[in-house]
Amino acid sequence: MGRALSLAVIFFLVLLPLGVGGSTLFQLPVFSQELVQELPWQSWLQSAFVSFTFTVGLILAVCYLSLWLGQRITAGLSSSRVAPLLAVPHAALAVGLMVLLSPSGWLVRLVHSLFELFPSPPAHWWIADKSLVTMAVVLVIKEVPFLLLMIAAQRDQLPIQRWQTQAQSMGYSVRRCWWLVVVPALLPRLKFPLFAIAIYTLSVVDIALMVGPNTPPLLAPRVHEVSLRFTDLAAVEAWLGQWLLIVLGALLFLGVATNQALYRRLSLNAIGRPVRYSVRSIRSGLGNQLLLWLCGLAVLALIVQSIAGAWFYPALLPQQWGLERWINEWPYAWPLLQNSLWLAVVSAAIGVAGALLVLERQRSQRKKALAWLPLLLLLIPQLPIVLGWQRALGQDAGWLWVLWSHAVFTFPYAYLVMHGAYISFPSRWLYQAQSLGHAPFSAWFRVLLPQIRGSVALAFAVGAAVSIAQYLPTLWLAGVSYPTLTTETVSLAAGGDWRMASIYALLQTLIPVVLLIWASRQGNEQRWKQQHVRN
Amino acid sequence: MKTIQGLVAILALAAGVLATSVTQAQPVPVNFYAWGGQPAINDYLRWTARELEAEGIALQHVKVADIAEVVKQLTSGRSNADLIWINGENFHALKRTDALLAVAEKVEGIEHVRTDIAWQIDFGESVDGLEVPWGIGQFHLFMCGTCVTQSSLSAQQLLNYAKANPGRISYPRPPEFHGTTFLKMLALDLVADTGVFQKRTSAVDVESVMRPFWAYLEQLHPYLWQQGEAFPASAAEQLNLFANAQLHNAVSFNPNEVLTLANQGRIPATSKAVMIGDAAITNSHYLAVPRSAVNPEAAIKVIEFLLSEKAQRKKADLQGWGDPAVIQQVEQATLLPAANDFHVTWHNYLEKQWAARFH
Repeated sequence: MGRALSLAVIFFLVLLPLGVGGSTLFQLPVFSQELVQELPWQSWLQSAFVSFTFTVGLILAVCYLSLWLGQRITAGLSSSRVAPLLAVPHAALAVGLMVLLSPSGWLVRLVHSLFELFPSPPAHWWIADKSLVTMAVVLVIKEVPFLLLMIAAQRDQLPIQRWQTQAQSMGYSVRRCWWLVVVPALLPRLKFPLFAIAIYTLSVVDIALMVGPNTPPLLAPRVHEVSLRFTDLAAVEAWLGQWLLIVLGALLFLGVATNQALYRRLSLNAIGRPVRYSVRSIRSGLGNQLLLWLCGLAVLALIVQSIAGAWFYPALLPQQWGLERWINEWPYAWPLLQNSLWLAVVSAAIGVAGALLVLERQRSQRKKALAWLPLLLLLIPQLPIVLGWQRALGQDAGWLWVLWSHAVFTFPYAYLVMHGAYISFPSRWLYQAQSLGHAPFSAWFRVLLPQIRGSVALAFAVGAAVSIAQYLPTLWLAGVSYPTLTTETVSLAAGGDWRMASIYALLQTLIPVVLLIWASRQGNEQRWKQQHVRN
Repeated sequence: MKTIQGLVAILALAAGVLATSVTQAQPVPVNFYAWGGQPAINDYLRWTARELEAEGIALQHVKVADIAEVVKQLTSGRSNADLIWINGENFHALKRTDALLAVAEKVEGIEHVRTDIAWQIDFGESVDGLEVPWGIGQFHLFMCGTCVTQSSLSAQQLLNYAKANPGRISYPRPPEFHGTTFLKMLALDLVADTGVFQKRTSAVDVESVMRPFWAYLEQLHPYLWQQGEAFPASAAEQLNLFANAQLHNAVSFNPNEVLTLANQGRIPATSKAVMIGDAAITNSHYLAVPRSAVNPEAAIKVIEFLLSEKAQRKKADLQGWGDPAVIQQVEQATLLPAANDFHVTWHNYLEKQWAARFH
């Protein structure tokens, strides 16, 4: 039964989407000698090269920054602190950050109002409106909290406390123990989450369009651009671009594996050596605080935008305020909120249920590591897959397919979030419950499930956040029947009027924030009970 | 016995409900795919939808970030659009694949369309009744009120301005159509014989005609925003940079937009419209009905309403969208001096060459 169900989950949420979406990758466009000559090879290779090096650099930064911040996370604390960061949709975060940091942003305005330095916005500023640096800042803030969450989930499975005691008894500091003992053990466990982040970075379109460089553009926005055009040349370019994305994705996988091996070797070399220099460690708690503050300020920027009238440089605050926009927009936003909400709740529930089935199967087979199959859809660039869905299913595919397209992405995230807690649950408790007369399902339901309630709640909330943010699948499968807050936000953002778009971006943020705060409460409550039981 | 009576009663009731729902015609849905980026335009379409309810039409504005998405779906034969908002390249692609209905002859009131605009030609290609004009576009710049005194700048004056104010001038990155049109405006001012732009590029010695143009761009780019290494992705993005004083210019196709955007508090009230050269490239934007439309008659009714005096007057209202009317009954704010748009082959030439030189 469990086997059949978990196979069904894998079929409907992994194999079917891949089969339906992947087929177009093998449909050759019309090639001709002329077209091949016309192809701007060089600039495509340039795009590919820049995208690849950028992704490699970013993934290293995200990885080690998160590991550094991760030292301070005492077990469990992570979810409650960083969780709200996961809720802010990336496009909204990008805009909020630009309002804060861009050459005409709050920071510059503040400096100007204090020192009269910039009568007009500086033409050279460390964070230009469109550059790799800007894009890196947005992505780091978005991806670090996710990786922190993964670190927190995986480290629960390691006997860190014992290692640290041992290390200290041998005269090593806690910090050295973390970097030389814990991190080498953690990295292999973070392989798939890191790889998922790498693929996301490589294939993200909306953020690249907003804040990325564009002469030439990065690979993913470029594929997106040509796939909207209708010349024969564009068809060839789009097809080749999709394959380039997939090949680079495969290379990134090797990159992540190499990173892990290299780190292991380096740390083994370093382990016996005395510390020659000691970097005064900046408290990594400060890093967490900074992330939270930046995110909070970005959301504040959106709130101010949504009630601003005219607001021009160098005014610190809007010259006019008003709630009319909210009041006028509400009747139109409400149906979209309902669509977003039900899609999020139902698809997150499906994703969590599917992940539980797969995890239970994994537990019964005593396989502890993260499996790649449930994560497959996160490990392949999204754009070509979704293009394939649209071609196969048509434009008004109906609510069932939209729901399915969301569940396809909530499922792997739910699996990632729950994996640590589920796998480290001691099976003997289940056997004891069964020996006391509970049927297997009843033992699972009454013993296991309550114990991992925090993780389940968190997986549900993360799943809902993932569903809320789905743009391409929603638009391409049901743009007419099921417009959501996200499709509306993106189409308004295309017009650049952020005062209106920020209303939708805020509503879009609201649902996951509420759910994530609820989820972290669940986690805390559960931990509190556990502690009291143990005492 | 009683149960049977009850059943009959229920059946009768159900039949009655069914009958009334058949006679009381359901509103006919019309899926209108249109760019959804401007709140003022979205508001106008919400008003339209409310007005059309009375005629038994449920107008659904499907907002897209770029109408090319829909054109692509139509050309590959998968779309549920009943009505679309297009012009230029997108029209050409649809005409080439024979994806549009010849609606112009069926639209009542088409005879009221202004005769002083060349709407029968869309980017050098004959319209052939496949689309109906909805509004007028005239390309020009917004500049800050204190930046320039005159109401038009030659290409040379623009270059001088950029040199004096490095990093403050830019244009959307072609193939974004505002960006491509910006290039066309410069070409009109820099090339002596502007007649060539109405011909196919294959009939012209493009290389030598355009030499001064490309030389000019090479000179201009180092003085642009971010030294010409990045460009705004869209006119809308550039508008934000302009509103925040990072840029001294923005680009627009709506001759009234400088007023409407100032009314909305989107740009400073001192902003002014400035032409490049002595005429603005002028074109129309259109409504079209795909062959695959499920409800073409209803879509035509929508077009008729949108061309009505009431709807056109409302569209031209400076407190709202402010798009110039295309029918004679509505008195006009004066348009800018008009220049014809280029033949579509120039479009492709400019996009391709630009990408090859500046990527």
